[in-house]
Amino acid sequence: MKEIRVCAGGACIASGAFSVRDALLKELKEKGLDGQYKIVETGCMGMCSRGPFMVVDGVVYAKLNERAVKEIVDSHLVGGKVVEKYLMALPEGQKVKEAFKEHPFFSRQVKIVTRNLGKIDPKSIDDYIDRGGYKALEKVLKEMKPQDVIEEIKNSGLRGRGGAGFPTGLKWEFAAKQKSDRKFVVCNADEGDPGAFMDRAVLEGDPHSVLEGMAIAAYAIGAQQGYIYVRAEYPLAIERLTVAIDQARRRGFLGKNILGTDFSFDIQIRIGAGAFVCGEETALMASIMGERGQPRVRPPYPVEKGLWGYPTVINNVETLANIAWIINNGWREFRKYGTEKSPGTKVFALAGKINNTGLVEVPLGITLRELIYDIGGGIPGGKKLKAVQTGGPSGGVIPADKIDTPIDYESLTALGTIMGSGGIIVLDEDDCMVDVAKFFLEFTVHESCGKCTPCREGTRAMYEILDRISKGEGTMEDIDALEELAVVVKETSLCGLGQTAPNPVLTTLRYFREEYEIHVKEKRCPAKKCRDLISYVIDPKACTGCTACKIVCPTGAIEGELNKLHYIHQDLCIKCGSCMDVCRFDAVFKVSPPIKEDEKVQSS
Amino acid sequence: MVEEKVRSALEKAREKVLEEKDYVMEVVRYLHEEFDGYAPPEALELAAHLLEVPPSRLYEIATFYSLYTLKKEAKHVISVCASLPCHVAGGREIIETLRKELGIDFGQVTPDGMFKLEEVGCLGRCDTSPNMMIDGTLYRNLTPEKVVAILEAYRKGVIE
Repeated sequence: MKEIRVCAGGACIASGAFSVRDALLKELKEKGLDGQYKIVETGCMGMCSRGPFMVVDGVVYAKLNERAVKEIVDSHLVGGKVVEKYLMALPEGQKVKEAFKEHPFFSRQVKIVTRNLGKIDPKSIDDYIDRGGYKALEKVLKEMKPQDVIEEIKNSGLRGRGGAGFPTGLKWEFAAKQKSDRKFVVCNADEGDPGAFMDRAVLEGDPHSVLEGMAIAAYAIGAQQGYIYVRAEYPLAIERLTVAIDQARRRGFLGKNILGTDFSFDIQIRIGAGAFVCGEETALMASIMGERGQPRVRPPYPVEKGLWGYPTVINNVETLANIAWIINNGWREFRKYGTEKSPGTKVFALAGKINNTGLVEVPLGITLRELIYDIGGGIPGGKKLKAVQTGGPSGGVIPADKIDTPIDYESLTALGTIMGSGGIIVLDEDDCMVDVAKFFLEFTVHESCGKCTPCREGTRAMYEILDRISKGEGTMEDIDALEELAVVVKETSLCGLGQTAPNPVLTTLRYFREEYEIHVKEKRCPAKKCRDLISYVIDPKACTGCTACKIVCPTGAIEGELNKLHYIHQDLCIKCGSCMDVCRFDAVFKVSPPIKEDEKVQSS
Repeated sequence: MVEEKVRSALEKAREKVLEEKDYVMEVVRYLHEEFDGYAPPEALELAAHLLEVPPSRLYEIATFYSLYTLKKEAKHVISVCASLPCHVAGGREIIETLRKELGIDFGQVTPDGMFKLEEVGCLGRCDTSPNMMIDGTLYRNLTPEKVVAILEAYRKGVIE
């Protein structure tokens, strides 16, 4: 029986993957083909902007709907003729059949963590086993001593993919050396960084790889119980993990005497409740233990005193998804990818102003240029790249002239940002750096747990300064004060949240200080983004008097008769931009600094 | 009625937890399930009494985590992403449309009890920004027009 793979990742489901699946079932039945084809609902195929996806005989069809399915069944399955219009196109416009091999978005990737995404049904343990699943666990339990496992992971050079990049093997070794009758393994699946969604994709698309990684970690350090702490915002991930844990228990990969050995290990899910700070390991442990999710001082580190005071290894989802692959293929194979200090691959989430949004797994050491232009397909609308934001609210911005830097833990730190969990937000000429910094600070102010003063008060004070600057009310002293505060908060905060919260401010100041100064001195926003520093005006040469803007304006700020030039009253305008959105003649444009009522502006 | 639900929440939590201490956390979570999205103070106090812990142990959890609440929510909870990836993709206009259409700000409920507007950090769907979630259903690639149409569908009961 042949397989037809339908992507059932979160994004594809939201764009109609299930109605595609149902239509496919119906069509197959009608054509009498249901005995020949088996539909496999897989995890995320990666290029979420073009879903729903379906793969038949290696041919990749994208952007599907029910009608498309009917055409494909009629033409491809019955007639043997590929339906060109639903194929993916290369950047040059040429359509390709086997996009996973031919399209640069897919062909440049190296799939270790995402090895099963898009290939197996995440609800089926048999699919996972068929592709070599749980072999690594068996090998470890039957052929390796815990110390051998630790050596293997140490040699691989795998570093924590949650952000800090701490060597995983070393962490395991510390925990293994602790003398304790109880130990824990925790999977940190509290993926909260805005812009990152790789952990969700792995949990939804290949949950067993995470369970297998946890079981191997448990064997290596001598733990009996594991927890997966996952965000409540990821209901599909929770559902698939629940199914997977249940299946693994029934097959004897979890529970008592795993695979007939005397090793026992079980896993429970703990669901978060919307606190970003719980991604920090000590806060996460507090939350599992039924407390407020507030971090504590380290040391003692969790490997010494973790859950309920016992040694605990906390690894991120992506880190754990690497483990079985390394055991199966050996550390030398792993080290073939990536750099000396940052071996292996990293899954990046491409978002923002980029043509191909989605998830990509590439070797570390790749440059941002390759990631954004070769794989990501560049910036939409012919706009200019301005900067790249990495690491979410804990990271910083990298200006366009530094995009040839290879991406690894050290070089990103040298640029003032961090790898973080791998979110890449691409910013173009229309994005304002003061606005970006303000935005992230607003996030941290909201998410700061309030335990330590530098983070609680410092982030708020920084936000207030940024708010003033974005409104044209800032002073040059404000910029200096902002910088000083940022350094203090970075150096004195209790946990990673506060220590990294100033990064967006520090990097935008470092690379775009001039933009801050223009906001202060000229009361102008060069990107025309900061609302208090812009005005909407109508170009008399382009306006046709169609009245579209007048109709849509919520405050009645636009005056003008049919077929005559329209005019925006600045004292009534709330700068919502609706007029600009509806104008079909590009007659509405923004100016900065803002103008006053009755002030005339030359069209640009 | 309240006692029944509290006892049921305690029962479910008891079945799940392995350790003594994390019991309270799961109790708060199951109380939200029992009361359909919130944990009323009288339920927290009764649960504390039955658990023989000070009520502050449950209150501190119910008030720290943003998904927990002491007050009855609106019929539909709209969680709109207020993070950078959505912001750069036009999220500001989405939030404004919601505020305008609903006539409320973040954390507020419409006078008819129909909608509550909440901001969330990130829904993890940055590839299809801007996004919002209503009662767990994701709406993506939003435009102000789509938002108006979606709200209309909820108001008319087309979407329950």
